[in-house]
Amino acid sequence: MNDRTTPDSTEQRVRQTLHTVAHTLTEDAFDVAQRPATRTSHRRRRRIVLGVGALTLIPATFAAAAIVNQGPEYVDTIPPERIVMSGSVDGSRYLLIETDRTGQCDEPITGVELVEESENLLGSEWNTSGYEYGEYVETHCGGNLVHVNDTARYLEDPALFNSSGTEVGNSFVWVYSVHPGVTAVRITSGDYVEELEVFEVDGAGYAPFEIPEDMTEYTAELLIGDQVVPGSAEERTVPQP
Amino acid sequence: MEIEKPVPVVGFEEAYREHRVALLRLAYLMSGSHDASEDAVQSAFTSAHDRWDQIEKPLPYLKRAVVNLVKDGQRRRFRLLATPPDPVTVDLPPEIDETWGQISRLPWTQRAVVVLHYYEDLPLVEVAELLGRPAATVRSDHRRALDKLRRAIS
Repeated sequence: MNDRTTPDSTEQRVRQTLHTVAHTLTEDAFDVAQRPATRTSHRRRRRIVLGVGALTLIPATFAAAAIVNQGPEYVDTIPPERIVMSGSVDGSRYLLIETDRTGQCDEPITGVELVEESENLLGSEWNTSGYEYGEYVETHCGGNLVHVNDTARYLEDPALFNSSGTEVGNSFVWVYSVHPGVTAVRITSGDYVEELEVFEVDGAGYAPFEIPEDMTEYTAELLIGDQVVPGSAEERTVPQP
Repeated sequence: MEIEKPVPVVGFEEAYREHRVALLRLAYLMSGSHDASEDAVQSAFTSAHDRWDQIEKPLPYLKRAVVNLVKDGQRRRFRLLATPPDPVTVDLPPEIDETWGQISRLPWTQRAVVVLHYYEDLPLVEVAELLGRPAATVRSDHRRALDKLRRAIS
């Protein structure tokens, strides 16, 4: 029997560790500079929502994200290497991170998750939206019929993509999951033109679009270099938060 | 005639000298950040200064303030997720180092429960009161934290 694993020994070890670490901290370990500090409280959320990538045919239409309960698992630090990009909408900050979740057959899920700061405070439960490139296909796993993501058909046609969004602040962040050859997503709405940066994750591209609050509709087109991918144009009416 | 005796009060400067490092240690164990610890302790003393004469038990008051300030700071720390925790500045024995690493990786509420229970020796019911969480939830936090630590360091 390993004595280290008994409850008493674990508690004893935790107690000893905390006191040892504490006593290494002397006055010198801290900067004695006097500076004012202010704190801001945020509301906490106690639910778990993982939106699995909304999968559509081209041109993509509005796709309702599936919701999967997972947990309880509490928000801890996110390893820096998983952070793809960060942004903010009306002061609401968010991160796009590489997902590390697994599917129904314990297969690794690819793609990204959008993590909004105010919905994922440390100590609260995860509340994120996931985006994955490809389409669901049926397969069997342990005798059960399950759906797993398949990118084969998408990889043969750069015009195929998925898009779905998450409400952030007073607007939406819309995420385009695109062929790895796509270099940008062009957004046009009247005089408004923006080319979205594409971030490569798990062999696909992901381009987040922070929809301006006053935008009511727009057209998205996939670009490879300077060329528009034929058949990729999608007109979208912006949903109201 | 009975004369009302004033409540003995520790002077602010004396309390600052006497308790500052202890409060910094508590804040660091919960936050893992020297800067966050300094901010919390500094703010606790600053907020206590103006009402010092009304505080009968300065140390419990300051500890409560520090815990709340660190808790609020953790909520903001989302913005600093890419920043690794400050390392301890001295070499620790491997077993202590390993356990401290595992404690540091606990979700914040579980970590706070562990620190307040095993470092401050507070009963779980008092930890619950201090953190503003139901006692049953804190008991669950405590059990989950210990389960994780037991698995990790076995």
